[in-house]
Amino acid sequence: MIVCVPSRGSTTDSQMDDRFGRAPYFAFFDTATNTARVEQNPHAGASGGVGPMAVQFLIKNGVQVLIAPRLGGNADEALKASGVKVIMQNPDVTVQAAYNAWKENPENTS
Amino acid sequence: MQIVIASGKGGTGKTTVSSNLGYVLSQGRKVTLADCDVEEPNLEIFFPCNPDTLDVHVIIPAVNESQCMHCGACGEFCRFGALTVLTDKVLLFPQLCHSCGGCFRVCPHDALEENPTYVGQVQTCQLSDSLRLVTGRLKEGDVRTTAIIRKVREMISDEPLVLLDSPPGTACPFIETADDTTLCVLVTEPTPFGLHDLSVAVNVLKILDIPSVVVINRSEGSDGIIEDYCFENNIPILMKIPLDFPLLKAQNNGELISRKDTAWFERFKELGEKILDYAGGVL
Repeated sequence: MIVCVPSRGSTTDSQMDDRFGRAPYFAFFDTATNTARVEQNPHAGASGGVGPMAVQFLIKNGVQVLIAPRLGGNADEALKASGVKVIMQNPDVTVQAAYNAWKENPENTS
Repeated sequence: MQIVIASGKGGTGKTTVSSNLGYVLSQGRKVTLADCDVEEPNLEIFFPCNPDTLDVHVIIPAVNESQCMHCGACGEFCRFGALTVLTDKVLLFPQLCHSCGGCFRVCPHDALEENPTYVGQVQTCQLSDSLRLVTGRLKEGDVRTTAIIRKVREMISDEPLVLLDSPPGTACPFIETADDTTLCVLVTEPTPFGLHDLSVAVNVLKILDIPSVVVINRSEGSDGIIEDYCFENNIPILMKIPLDFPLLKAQNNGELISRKDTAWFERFKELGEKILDYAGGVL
């Protein structure tokens, strides 16, 4: 299963970003192999519609779970339609810590 | 000849200037007033009429799911995020669509159909033998201002003299209104906000290669910040409109000051003649 966390920086030690569509990076954790990679968000600087574009990017990367602090209306609608499970998480932690918290308690969908 | 009346900052008096100029200049020549402030058109307050109405539509895509292979080509192409391709469906966000038509071109499976969508109206009134009013009106809650402005401009493109009342600001709606016009009359006020937004508008007009002239509204005699700026940038100041309470009162009652008061008629006539001289390249 691929789990995504929006990130401010290019490593899993980076702070989680408090935005979704405009986060500069996305971290992808693979639960099967216990590995992680961080990719640049190609649409972070677009003029508009970044929420749906980010959802499309997540789908392309096979994401099934998104850990995010808050979502815009369009992103929310696209995520609901896509079937990606959304876990709300306060962004004042690192990307790795957010993932670890989810792993310990995957059903905590606040 | 197309002359745009703009300001950058909102509420500086664009409509005061364009309504009076339109009225005064139409005494002796054919004039078309075009209200391009399509989110909140208000020229008709001064010219009540029963308009002819034309509906404006834009083309947005509709997905034919039986043809769609969810290849993602349209979603990758759309830089506005209007199409989101998921593994088994395509989501459309109509308000994000700019009607560029690109998705129709990149779809390899002919799965997109053209869906005309109502975005507003253009209303036309023949107010007198020589004065016509064309008003763009965006559908409430919509954001596709430029589609309406484009339609207004298409409908007035052959008129001999057009005064375009611009929306405030200096972004897309302003550019759609001002592009390819002969001259821009910038109405400003002697405040730091007025100056700031004036300077932004002047810089945009330089890029569009449109000459600008300035009218100072609510002038209280100490217009130094605007005068200094205009002097430094070689922009002529064609008129100063004082902070005049009879004028404001008439405006607020929906009256046109130049129709009511001969002194104001003469002032706007002088402004109109100067503007035509600048636009015609005489000055």
